[in-house]
Amino acid sequence: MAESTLTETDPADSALIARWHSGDERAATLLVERHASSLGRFIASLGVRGEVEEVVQDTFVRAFGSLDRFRAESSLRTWLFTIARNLVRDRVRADRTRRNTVPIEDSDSVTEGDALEETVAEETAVRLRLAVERLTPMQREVFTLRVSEGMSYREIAQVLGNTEGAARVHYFNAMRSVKEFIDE
Amino acid sequence: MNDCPRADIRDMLPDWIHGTLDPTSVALVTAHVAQCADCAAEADLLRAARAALARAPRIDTGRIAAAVNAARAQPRELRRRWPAVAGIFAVAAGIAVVMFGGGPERDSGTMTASVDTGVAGSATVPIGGSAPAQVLAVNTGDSAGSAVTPGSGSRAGQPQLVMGGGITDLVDQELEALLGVLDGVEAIPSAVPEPVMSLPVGTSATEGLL
Repeated sequence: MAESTLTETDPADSALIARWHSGDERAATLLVERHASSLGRFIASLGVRGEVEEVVQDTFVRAFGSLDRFRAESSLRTWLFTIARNLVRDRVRADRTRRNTVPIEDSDSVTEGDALEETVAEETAVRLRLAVERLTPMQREVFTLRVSEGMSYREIAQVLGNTEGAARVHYFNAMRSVKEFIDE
Repeated sequence: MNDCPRADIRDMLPDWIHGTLDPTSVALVTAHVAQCADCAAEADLLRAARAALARAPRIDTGRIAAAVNAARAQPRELRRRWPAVAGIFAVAAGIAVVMFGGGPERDSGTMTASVDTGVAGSATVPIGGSAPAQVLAVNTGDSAGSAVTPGSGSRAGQPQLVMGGGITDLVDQELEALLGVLDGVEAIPSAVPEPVMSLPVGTSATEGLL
C-alpha cells in the first residue's frame, strides 16, 4: 500500500538546524515559523484553550535545548509533536482543575451554545469541528494528525507511541464517527 | 454517507488531498475517485475537515524564536567564561588560605572581593590598595551568600552584591551583574602565588603580590 514516507527530517529543516548550530539565530525564527501553526492546531486539538502559545514556546525551547541529541534520520516535525503532546499530558496531569485547560476526556465536546456563536457561513466547518470534538481523545489526535497535518500512520505512531496498525484502526473508527455525526 | 469497499484507496485519501503520494498512487486514487461516489464524498469531507481544523490559534513566532535564542545564549556565555571563573575561584581560595588561614582579621583599607562558591566555603581576596573598604560577595552555590569585610562584618552603605540559589536561577539582570563582577576580578593574576607562611595584609608587599 502506497503511503507517505516522509518520516525523515525535511531537508529544509536539516539545513536550518545546521545553520542554527553554527550560530545563525535567524534559523530558529525560520524553524519556528515553519512548525508553530501546525503545533498550535495540534495542541488546541488536545484540549488546551488559553495557553496554546505558551505550550508551543515550551515545545520549541525544549526541542532546541536538546537539538544536539536530535537524530536527523527521524522527522523534526514528528519530534516536535511528540514533545508537545508530552507537555500537554504533563500539564493535564499536574492541574486537571485549571480553568483554561480542558481535561482530555471522552465526554468533552463543544457546546451547542458555542456552535450558535459561529456565523451561518461557517455552519459546515462548525459541524465538522463538533464531530471531531465528539471523538475519543485518541481518535481525535489520530484524526487531527492524519487529516489536518497529513501525517502518515508511521509518523502518527511515533507521536502517539503506538503502532501503525493501531493508528490506522483509530483513524477509520474516527472517520466512521464523523460520517455518522454529519449524516444525523 | 457510505464507505467504499476499497479500503486501500480510502487509506490513501488523506495523503491524496495533502499531495504527498507518489505519482503512481496519485494516478490510482484519482482514477478511482473519478468513478466512485463514496470516495469522492469522503474526499470532499476530508477537505472540509482539513479546512475546518486549519484555524490555528494566534501565535507570536517572533517571541518564541527570541525565547529559543535567549535560552541558548545564556548557557553559552557561561560556558565561555567558566574556565576563567574556575581559575579565579582557585586563585581566590588559595590566596585566602595563605593569607588568612581561616580566621585572622585584616585591616579595612583594602578593597575586597568575597567569592563563595557554595562548595568550598568563602574566599576573601584583596584586590586593591588603600581605597576605602568595598566588598563584593558572590554566591553561586546553594549556600547563603555572605558579604563580609574581615574584622567588621557586613557594613551598611557599602556596595554589596549578594545572590542566593543556583546560577540557573539568576535573571538576566543578576547574571549581568555577576559577569560584571567576575570581569572585575579578572584583574587578579592567573598565576597562583608561591605559598607564604606569613604575609602582612594591606601592605605594599601584598599589593606587590597581587
